[in-house]
Amino acid sequence: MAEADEVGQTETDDGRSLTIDGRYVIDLDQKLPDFVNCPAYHVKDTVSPTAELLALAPAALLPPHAGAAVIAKIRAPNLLPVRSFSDATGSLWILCDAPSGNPLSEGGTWTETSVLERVIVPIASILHAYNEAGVTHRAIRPDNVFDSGGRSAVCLGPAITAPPAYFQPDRFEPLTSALCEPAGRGSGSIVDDIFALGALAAWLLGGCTPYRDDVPGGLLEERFQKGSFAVLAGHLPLSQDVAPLLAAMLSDDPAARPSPRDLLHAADHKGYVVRRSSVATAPIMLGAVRIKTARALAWYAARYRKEFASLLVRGVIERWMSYELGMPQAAARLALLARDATLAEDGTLASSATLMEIISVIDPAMPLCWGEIWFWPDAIGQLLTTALAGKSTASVDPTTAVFELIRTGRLDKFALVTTVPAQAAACAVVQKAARQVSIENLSDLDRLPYVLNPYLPCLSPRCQNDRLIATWALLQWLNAGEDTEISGTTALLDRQMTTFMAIAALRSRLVETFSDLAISKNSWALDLAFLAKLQHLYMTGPLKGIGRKLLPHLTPELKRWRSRSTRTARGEQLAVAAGEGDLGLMQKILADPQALRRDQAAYNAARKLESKLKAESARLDHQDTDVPLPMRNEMIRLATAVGVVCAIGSLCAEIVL
Amino acid sequence: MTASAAKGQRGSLTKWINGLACGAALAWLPGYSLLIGVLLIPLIAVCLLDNNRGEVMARMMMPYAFAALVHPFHMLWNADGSMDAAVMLLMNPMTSVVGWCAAGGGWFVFEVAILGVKLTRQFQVRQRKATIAKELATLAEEWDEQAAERS
Repeated sequence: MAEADEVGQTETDDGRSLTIDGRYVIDLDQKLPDFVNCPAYHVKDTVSPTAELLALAPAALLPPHAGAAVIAKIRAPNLLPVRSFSDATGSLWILCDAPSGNPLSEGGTWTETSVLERVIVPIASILHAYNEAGVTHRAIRPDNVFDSGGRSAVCLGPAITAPPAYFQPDRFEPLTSALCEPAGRGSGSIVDDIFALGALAAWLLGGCTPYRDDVPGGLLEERFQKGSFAVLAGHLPLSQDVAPLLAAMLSDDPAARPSPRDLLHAADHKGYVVRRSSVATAPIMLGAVRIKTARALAWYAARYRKEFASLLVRGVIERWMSYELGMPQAAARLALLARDATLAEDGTLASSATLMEIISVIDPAMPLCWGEIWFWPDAIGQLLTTALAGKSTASVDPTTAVFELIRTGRLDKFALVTTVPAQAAACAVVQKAARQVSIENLSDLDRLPYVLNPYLPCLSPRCQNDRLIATWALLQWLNAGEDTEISGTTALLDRQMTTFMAIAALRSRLVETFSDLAISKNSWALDLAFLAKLQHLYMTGPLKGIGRKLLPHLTPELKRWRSRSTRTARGEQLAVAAGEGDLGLMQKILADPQALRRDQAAYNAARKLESKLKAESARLDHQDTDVPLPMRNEMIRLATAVGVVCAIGSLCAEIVL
Repeated sequence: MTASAAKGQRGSLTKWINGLACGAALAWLPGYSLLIGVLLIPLIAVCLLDNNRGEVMARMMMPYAFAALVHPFHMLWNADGSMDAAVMLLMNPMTSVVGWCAAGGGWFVFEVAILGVKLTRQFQVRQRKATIAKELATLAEEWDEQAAERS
């Protein structure tokens, strides 16, 4: 447990707890009901024991976006302050004050004055602070605004407990965001928050009717036809002071909405003038739909493709936009695109890229449309995260759309056309990220979410619930995990783990390129090489648990050594290195090219010797044991010599005797 | 005149000289000739019966026969080399048996030497084969791929 203690995690006999920033003690066994769709735990401030706090643990698949650290630091009156935004424990924890009142979703009675004074002005003040910091809130909805009663202002909940606008019901989102699936909405701009605030005000003035049962996308068609204000607040008996204000806030044209600063004095009944976007006097018919605005045309173009393509190639769209909407420049660009457009067999535009460009030209404030899905480029990370986890609600696979966009470079085209500056920057970020992690085929796309969002935890199914956000935490998890093995496992790590750790190292500039660390596939040996590099890069010290888990599966690697004695010796060395948790040494023992070459040379020599010995043995089997002629002659000479000696001996004996 | 013709002439000349020498010996030294002739019967038999190596074998057996001939020859010398003394000596069966056995001993020494060489060679082959088998077993144990797969 020593390693866990270092990061502030402690385990006691009766439960587990985490200490953050040296003062906040999170009781992991005391889970509270979800707060604003985010899992919450009981937390105690040891410095100020009476403070009521919440510890929020964003789900692995729903992390806050990349700019969450900046948002966490924003302080404003009537904003639920974030006490700590910490990943020091290896997983992301957001600590904030518990709200003092009930969420507005529980209902209540609101007048125009109370809405203006207690809701619009205080939240506008908060949004002003957000705007000054260059960020957005994107979670203004009844269950994230808290009312403590009386005449006090409402309190706005935190913005970083989930991806931007992920849990926003359609009615609290502007059209350009509501038509995207929740994961594809992105951070948007501050005027999207203004719309949400206006929608909240309209909802309060409308009697707080429950919206839980709203069908996603149910109001879209009506909103495109009549306008969001007419649909959301048109039926309300609004005063002459409030109606223009809400009309401006709920304008479907982002440029027509007031800024947060404009709303700071809303309670003073400052007059608001709603800028009307151009509306055609003679509608154009697309299928059975009568279209009067460019925005509606852009949306319906993606729905009625065949009819739209027919009108486009005949130049009807171009003339209608030029004469009815007064958009001759857009019409001229459409004419150019229409000239190059080719039709598929079913009469629709053959290229998704062309349709995307056409839609962007018709209304540059609309999100990116590819195939049948709409999304903002800054939401690509979350869109892929959701899609790769199989949670996407889109009818087509967003991963294919994003891959095509990146491969064909169409993101740059969208960036040139869109009127949302942040989205043009987001396109550049996505393209740069794609180059960084070498996205060459569809399966490489799972790298992109990790590059785009540093708060995305490792999405391996094995450790997803632990929300591990740092490499060291994942290494500790692997090191400390039990040795229970799933049958059929072919590696210690999986693709998500290696991708997560490789990108984390790239982000920390421990490696220069993604390919310096990434491995092509997961196997026990490649995982060892990968983990050995990480152990060296992060200087983690011994990883005995990982060594112990890898050891039994590295035997096949030892077979590369042909010499039995070398295998045995290396196996013993490997076991010692694994026991010491030295993955680098284990890797060195297994991957020693020079020794491997020597072993191969010795093997070849042994094989040669073996064949030589076998040949000699075969030759000996058939060797004639007869005495060869020269030796026979030698024998004769020898026998003659012996005879001569005998003769001399006999002669001498005869003389002597 | 070719070399073979010259060689043939030299061979026939040697035969003539040998024939004349034998004739002279029989004429002037009949006792010695008889003794030598009887005791060298095995050599003459080998010469006549073994076409391939008869001369070589006879030459090899000659010193052995000579060793056995020394004593009877000495005795005949002491008896002035008379025909009677030669017959007397030859009537003693031990003289002939010892002389012939000595010639046979020469042949036996040669055959034993050949057998010894054969056995030595066989032993060496067997020993080498055992060494090879041992080396092959060591190599197989160290380098056998199937063993590597099993381990």
